[in-house]
Amino acid sequence: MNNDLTFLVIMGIAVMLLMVVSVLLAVIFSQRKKNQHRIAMEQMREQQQNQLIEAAVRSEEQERHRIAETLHDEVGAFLSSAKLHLLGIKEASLDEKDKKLYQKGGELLNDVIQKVRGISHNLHSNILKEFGLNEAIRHFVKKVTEGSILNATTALDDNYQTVNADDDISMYRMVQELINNILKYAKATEFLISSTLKGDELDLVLFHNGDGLTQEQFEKLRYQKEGLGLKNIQNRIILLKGSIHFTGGAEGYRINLHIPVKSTTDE
Amino acid sequence: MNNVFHKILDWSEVWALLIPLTFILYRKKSSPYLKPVKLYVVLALLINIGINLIWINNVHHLYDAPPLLQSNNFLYNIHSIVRLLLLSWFFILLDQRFMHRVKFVLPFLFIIVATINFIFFENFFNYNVLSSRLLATEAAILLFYCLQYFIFILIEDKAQPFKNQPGIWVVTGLTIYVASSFSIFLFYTYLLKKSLKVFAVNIWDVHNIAYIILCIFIAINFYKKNE
Repeated sequence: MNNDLTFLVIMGIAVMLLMVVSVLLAVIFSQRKKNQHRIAMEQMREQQQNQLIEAAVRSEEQERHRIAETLHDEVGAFLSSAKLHLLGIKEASLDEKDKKLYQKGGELLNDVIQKVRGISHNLHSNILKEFGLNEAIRHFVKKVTEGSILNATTALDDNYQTVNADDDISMYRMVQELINNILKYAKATEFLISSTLKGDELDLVLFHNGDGLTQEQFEKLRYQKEGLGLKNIQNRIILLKGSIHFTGGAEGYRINLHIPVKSTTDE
Repeated sequence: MNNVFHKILDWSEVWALLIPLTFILYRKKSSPYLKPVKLYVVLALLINIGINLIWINNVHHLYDAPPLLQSNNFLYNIHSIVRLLLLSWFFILLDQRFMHRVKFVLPFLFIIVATINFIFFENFFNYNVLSSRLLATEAAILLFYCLQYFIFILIEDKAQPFKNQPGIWVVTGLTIYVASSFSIFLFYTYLLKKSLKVFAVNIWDVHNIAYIILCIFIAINFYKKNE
């Protein structure tokens, strides 16, 4: 009887402990499974988000292309035709007042043709396709800073060769947007853009001595409706799997773009 | 050697509580749901010091204690009530949206059952033996709290690593303690009645080891920074 009782107590303890171990193992494995599922879902969501961003960026690029072609081939052709027709008027047969109007009209028409060409080239970025990222950036910097008070310097790493043309377009668009912002808001007098290729990574640095953004401000602005340009930059960064960092100090503001450069065969 | 080991275990209900107490004092800021656990550690230490002092006095006859303090069994009963009330408060504060009403009702039910038991069936100040009924009921209720805690983790959608669950270390330690002690509490009086005192004293060591584990797990919970 006493032996049965001691056996009962010992068995009671053993069974209860076994139950505890089973419950703990069940909880641990269930949490591990849930965690794996959560990670898989997060990866899928990220993948979907990237696909959406990619589609948005590509369609934006296609739209730019279409607008550029329409401007160049249709509006440009109409404007050239209008100029031809204007040149067809015999200036000698006009009186003084009409001569002035004719000359003013000709000047305006030339300006519009130049502007349309500029916009078309800006949207299409032929230089980027033909001469690569570095040349396109140099050309863009020269074009936008020419005649302004901004003293611009470019120091781009010529070791960088285009691997993926679509990635180059994204990088170029980001640089365009950032330089436009600097010109619009920074009131800078000095500007430097440099790039360094380190293995499979390209570091682009934009430095200026005006008023810039800090990382905190960038994080805040990119989610605002008005900050469309910054949102586009963020989307392209996500698409390129890179990073962007804004820093400011007494000597000026710096924007660091860190972009992995992978060949298409790697993916 | 065996004697020393027994002495250490006899005092384990006092010194083991110093481990979580050290971490409570070391990490003053902790989650609000750990407040009842803090209170339990302090009260349990005071009660257990009382239990051991009465026991030493009974063994060595150091001074002539009043009749009330000649047996420490009533302190075990008080400890049991304090433990259940404070730890059920801890489970309620964890705010798991599961069996909410049951968790609120159980402490009151326990008080009613304990009162009825001590009015009609047992003596709260029993000189010879602690209340197996009270301690076993307490262990069963605490085991229920622990199991519902784990069931909630199993059924909830949130995927949080096991070790990051709020209060996980306290609950795991408590589960080990009550699961090991339930059978001991349940049969303790019966073992003494059946003249199995030596076995009862030896099996109480299992309870003491489980209590040390509980204290270590409580200490881990207070040590963890993210809690």
